Amino acid sequence: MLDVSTGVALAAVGAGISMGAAAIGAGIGVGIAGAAGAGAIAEDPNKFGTALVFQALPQTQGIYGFLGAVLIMIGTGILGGFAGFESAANTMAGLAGTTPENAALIMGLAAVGGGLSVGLAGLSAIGQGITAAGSIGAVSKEPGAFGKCMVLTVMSETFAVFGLLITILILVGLKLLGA
Amino acid sequence: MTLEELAASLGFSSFPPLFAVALAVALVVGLIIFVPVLLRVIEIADYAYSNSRIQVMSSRIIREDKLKEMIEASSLAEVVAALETTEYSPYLREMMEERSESIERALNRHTADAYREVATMVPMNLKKILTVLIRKWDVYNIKLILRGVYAERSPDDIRADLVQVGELDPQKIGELAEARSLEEAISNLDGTPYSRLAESLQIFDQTRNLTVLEAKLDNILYEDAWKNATSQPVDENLLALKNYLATNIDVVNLKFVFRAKKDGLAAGSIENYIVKGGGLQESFIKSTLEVDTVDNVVASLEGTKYYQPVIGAVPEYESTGSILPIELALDGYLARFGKDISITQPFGIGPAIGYLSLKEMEVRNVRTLARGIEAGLSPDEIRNLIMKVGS
Repeated sequence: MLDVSTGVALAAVGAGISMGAAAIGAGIGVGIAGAAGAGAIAEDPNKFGTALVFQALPQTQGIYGFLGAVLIMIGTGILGGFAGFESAANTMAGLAGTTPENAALIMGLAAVGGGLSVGLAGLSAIGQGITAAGSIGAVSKEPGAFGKCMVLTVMSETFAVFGLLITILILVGLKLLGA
Repeated sequence: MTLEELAASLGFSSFPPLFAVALAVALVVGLIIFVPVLLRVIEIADYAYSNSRIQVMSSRIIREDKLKEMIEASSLAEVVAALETTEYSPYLREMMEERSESIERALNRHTADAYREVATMVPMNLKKILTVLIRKWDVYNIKLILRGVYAERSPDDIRADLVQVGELDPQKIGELAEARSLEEAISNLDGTPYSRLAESLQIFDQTRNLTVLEAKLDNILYEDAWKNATSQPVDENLLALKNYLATNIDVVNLKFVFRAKKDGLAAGSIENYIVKGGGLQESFIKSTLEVDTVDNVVASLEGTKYYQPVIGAVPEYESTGSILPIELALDGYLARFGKDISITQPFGIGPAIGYLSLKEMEVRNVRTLARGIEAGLSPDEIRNLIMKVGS
């Protein structure tokens, strides 16, 4: 039987980094925005709507991380266990003209690269949470500033989207997805 | 070269150990970068709740257009009606009569509560400084008592004007109003932070000018706050609060200097009333006391950050002969300074300083317009007395 354990382990690490790092970013970002939201609501419960919208923004990085992890698991076949991964490695070996062992290793490293991309990009949620917290305060003081504050807060999102995009491109480029 | 060959060339038996080492190095480097960022984030997170609350509180500060409408009011009843739609409303309910003093009491009580509220939200080291500043209402009350006793008002009349919001025991404040002489009132302050007021009695006896006693009270208050601010390890937020306090002290000192020059007080007798600390050197402030006229005091400020605001108020001073425009300019500068800190430090103590600064300006303006309307001043005359955020 083909030894694919290293590749499987790396793919699992990639999926874990994708979700874990993004969750750290999203969690901290949402936490900061939530604290600001709680402050606004403590003074005026009608600010709940504003607080909720801004608090939701840093959550998207967590969703990207989750999506990245799922794509990695589907692409490398580890959802189907060792057999699934082995089958994907064999397919890749055929496409790349290499041994299945090497293909397994490449798949694992690709998963780590993809996971790092979306996971670390997910840390942008921390910055977004800080902007969201400032925006909750600004909009609480000046409701007319909602649109402008929303634009400022959404800016950090760009980098998270780029991170996810690179993960998808890695997986598609190596024919792990859409092949 | 395969990954296994790469690992072998680097002295590893296979690729997984190489990968493990690479991952460990990446983790350590990541932590070195991430930990300082995380510490900064935690610092910001500490203020997220309080700053957001303070921003909501700031949104309730009376806006300029509303203040303009209030200036046009034809009676105090109209002012009270306008204030009913503001956060002063609950404090106005206890008003016994529509007098400017009653409105003033409501404003002061609200402001002291705002200080307390903000003090509960900031970290402990900053809380201590804000708590000292709450004592300004004790100082306010003691000044009222001293003026009342000096003018031989009855204890009941004096008590009616007091604002029970400071840190001193209300009973103690009530007892002070019973005093029959300034000496008695001041000796009753024994055991309080204001017992040092007795040091000024001799100069008061020579000058018979209450300014020296009032200046001593400001001196005690701000020196205590400054002592608190300088006795703690400095961080970014404490530094911002210290800068604000320093500007506050400078403004108090400069107003005292201008008042002293206007009243013709001799430099030697009053230089001990200069509050120590602040941004301007004590020796500089003392040198301004040596100058003989208000105009020369203004000239001596050239090169300091107070020159531009003050020079702008000189034409009005020259036409009216009152130093009020200069005092308004200095207070306006302080409000601007506070507002600037709130903009430059939005994730620390900034919004709290900005809010308290604007709140004090609001209270002062409402008090001024209430007194003006009660005294029958025209809207134009009141507008001239209204404080604006300096430019």
